[in-house]
Amino acid sequence: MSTSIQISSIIGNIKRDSILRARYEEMSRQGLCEIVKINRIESERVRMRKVTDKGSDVIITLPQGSRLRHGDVIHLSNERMVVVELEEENLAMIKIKDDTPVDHVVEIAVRVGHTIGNLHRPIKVEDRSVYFPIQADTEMEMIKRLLNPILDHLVIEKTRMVFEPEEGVEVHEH
Amino acid sequence: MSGKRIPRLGVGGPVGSGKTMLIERIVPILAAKGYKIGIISNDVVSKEDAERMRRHLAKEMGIMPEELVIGVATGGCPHTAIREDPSMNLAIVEELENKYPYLDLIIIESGGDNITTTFSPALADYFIYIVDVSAGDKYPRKRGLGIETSDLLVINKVDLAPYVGADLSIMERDARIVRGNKPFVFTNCKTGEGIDKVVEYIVRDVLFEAQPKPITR
Repeated sequence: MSTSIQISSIIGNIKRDSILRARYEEMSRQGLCEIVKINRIESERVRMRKVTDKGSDVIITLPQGSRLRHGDVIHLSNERMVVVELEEENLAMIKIKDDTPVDHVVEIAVRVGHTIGNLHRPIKVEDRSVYFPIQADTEMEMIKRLLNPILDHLVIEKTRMVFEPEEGVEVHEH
Repeated sequence: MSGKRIPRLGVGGPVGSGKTMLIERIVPILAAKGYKIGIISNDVVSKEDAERMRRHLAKEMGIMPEELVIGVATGGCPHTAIREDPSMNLAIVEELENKYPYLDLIIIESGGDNITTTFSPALADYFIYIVDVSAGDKYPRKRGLGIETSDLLVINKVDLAPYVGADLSIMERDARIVRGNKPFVFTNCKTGEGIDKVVEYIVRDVLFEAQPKPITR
């Protein structure tokens, strides 16, 4: 059995660092990249043991308060790059329709925010849309019921993708 | 600071599922391997579980000092103290890290809670969720954050299955479906069945198979 890869710091991120991204693309072509898949809860952990997609054992011990992000490079040598990927998760997407009268947008946004807040979910806001995690399809029905009074002004859809919530907003989930 | 950080294992699950007894079973095995352990036991209004572990593991078995079992009466919903605001537990963890830097592991037991229990990633590096078969073989497939996202699911009291009409093969099938490749273990904490397997996971995935630390005071 090969020896474990010991990780104690984050080198950089291929989504934010163009030099690292170029290196990633080059090493990917050469088959030298390995992926560690983690979920959102694990992204906030500083100590864990994972296995890469190529079967390498990875032992992670990061400084307290570290957070792993999608695309983080945690190991880099001439022979190998190890990159973190967040698992996709089920999300609800709520969008305020473009034809909503300006006078109503604030009220609708506040009501949507209040409803999501009552569900204690982390959020990601993009333009007129807000995303938050759901555990089961059955929640979509519940969300539509809760937002029933303003449903005409909203598009509500289930989607699945990598979710990195807004930071600095303390939330918890039930 | 990070050099002093001691690995932290969270144990959560419903009332009466066997959290305390699981800890009482795994600690002696880890202690026999030379690992030194501190325990923080959260309960809602009493400190009965902590007192029981102190009596059993410290006074009767003599495998750990009494002061390394700490009881916390959290009040309110048990998960608030391990997830929403873990500051009280974090303060105790830091106190243990400062006073007993030679510890190899800190176990944090949640008060009995519901299926949405999880530990804050700031508090626990690894989360064991324990349920028992007497709640019915539907338990794993009904999902919930604890069952789905815990690092290890322990299904306890397998000896009771025939008395409550629970089919372990159904629980096994559903646990595989719900948890994908995340592990689960059937146990009987009364007899010790399955406990070695739980310890194996802890040694590999929490302690990283490290040698026990030397005691330096």
